[in-house]
Amino acid sequence: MVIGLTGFLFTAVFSCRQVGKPAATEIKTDLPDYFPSLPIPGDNPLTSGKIALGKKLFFDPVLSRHRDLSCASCHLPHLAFTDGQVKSINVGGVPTLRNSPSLFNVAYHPYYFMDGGNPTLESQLISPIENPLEMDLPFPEAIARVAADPEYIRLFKEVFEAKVSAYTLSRAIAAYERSLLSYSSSFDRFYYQGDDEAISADAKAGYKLFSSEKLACNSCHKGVLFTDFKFRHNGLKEDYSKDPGRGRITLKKEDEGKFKTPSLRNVALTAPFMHDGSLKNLEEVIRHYAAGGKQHFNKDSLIMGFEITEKEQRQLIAFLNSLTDTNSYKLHQ
Amino acid sequence: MQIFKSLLFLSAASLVLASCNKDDNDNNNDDNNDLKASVKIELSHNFEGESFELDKYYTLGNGSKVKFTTAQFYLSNVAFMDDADNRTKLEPQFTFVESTTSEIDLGEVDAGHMHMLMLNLGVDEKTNTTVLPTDFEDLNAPLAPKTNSMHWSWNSGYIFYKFEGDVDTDGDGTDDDSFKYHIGLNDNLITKSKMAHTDLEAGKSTDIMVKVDYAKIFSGLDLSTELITMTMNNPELATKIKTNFEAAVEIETHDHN
Repeated sequence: MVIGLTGFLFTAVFSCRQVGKPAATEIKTDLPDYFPSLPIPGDNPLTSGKIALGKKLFFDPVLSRHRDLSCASCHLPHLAFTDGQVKSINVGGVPTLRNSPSLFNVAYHPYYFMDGGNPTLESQLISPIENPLEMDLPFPEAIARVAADPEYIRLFKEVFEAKVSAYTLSRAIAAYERSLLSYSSSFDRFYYQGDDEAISADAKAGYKLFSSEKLACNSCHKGVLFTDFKFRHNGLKEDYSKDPGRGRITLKKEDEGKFKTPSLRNVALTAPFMHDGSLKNLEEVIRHYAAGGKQHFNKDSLIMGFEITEKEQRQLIAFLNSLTDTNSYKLHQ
Repeated sequence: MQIFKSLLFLSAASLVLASCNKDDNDNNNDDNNDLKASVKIELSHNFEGESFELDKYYTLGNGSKVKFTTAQFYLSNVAFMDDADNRTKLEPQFTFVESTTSEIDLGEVDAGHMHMLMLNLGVDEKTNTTVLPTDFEDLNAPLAPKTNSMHWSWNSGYIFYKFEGDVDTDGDGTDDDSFKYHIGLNDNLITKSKMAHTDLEAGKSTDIMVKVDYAKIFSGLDLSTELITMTMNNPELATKIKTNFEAAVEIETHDHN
């Protein structure tokens, strides 16, 4: 009964803040039992209409200064919502600061951007839209453009019973991004669903290596999401003056060169790697960690280097390939 | 047990109603206007006494010329204390001030003695860490996204005061450099206070004069090198701008019959 009452309170309280009423019924996220339940903020329940509206906006170049880039320009569904570039190219043809991150399972991130500079999925989208190195459009102008489109006016009214605003626009796109879930890889079928035939013998051996004391990749890429979401320095560079990572946000020397541990789900689709896209493929990534990284006062103590044979490297890559979820990206094309 | 459940439900419902009606309670005005005094802020923007406007060149003491293309800030949390240290907060809590903003109506308060006046330049820590530009339906809300934005695109939190423009270092009519001072982060919130010793008389208006001398923003700066801070990338310069802007803003009070 107490649980029921708490549920009532929760629903009632956020009905005070919610804009209008969602036209469609809230979506029930039917996730497999090995996957964490989806965190959904009280003021932004997931509805099919809202997700569809968010998807339309996500793929619409109206949100960039010259109407030539959409969110999807740098987050392509078939590349697990990355873009295959070292760094994305912005409206003026200038590279962005960092490599495009995957958007799969972003709902679970405790903070956004590689340096954690933004707290919520709803608020972070103002950054790529306004950033001169990305879509370069003042947010009020983005809202004005969308609000001038009769089709969007109709859809916002249908979904929110409200007009286009900073609030509703951000909720719609965040709802779509929150729906980008990936949990159906071959490895999931093997490890969580007991299908012994789902991955190869090499991939199984690779997983053992991944979790071994020698490599200990799972010290950081841990759990079902293959990340601990911590800010870590992986020894990629000696000089971080161009991009101090977490240090840019906290201004602390001890955070210089630290970046949020990325998830390894779909990692085989997301090359090139690292925050600056400087490593071309998984072989280069493994060589980097095997060598122990470059010296830096903040380098994580877990980056110590290791010996790995060519066969083991092949096995490790077979395992990483097994984390690719081809079902999820097809859903979003 | 049934009574317990009912009480729980009533408490819950009261909580919900209370949260929904909070704004109404806050705006519950006293009908007895005879005991009210009106208060407003009058803003004066100047450059060493000269009327201030954007895109106009002003000459500094060393002969350099500066031109502002942006001069905007948040003025917030205006409050006064009486002799017994009782604090009265005035609304609106936040005002987005541009170089053309000349008046802020702070409404009516109970008549009485104003011992001290306080206001902030910037956004208080609680708001800065919990309120986000995307929380607003009305783009005219002070903390909603601005075309000339008052938030960073790569970090959360508001820009408290933002000054941009050009510098003609040798005064020869050609711009040599640009300056960009975007100051935020909780440490850079400016809290100004003024011993007012002013009676807020019923039926009368009290003006709080806020004078901004934009020349003082450059006090002690070397404009050949100290040109850009987004706060995080150059916190030392941000601290200097904070000190200078604090000195640039003066508060006075005037009574009107």
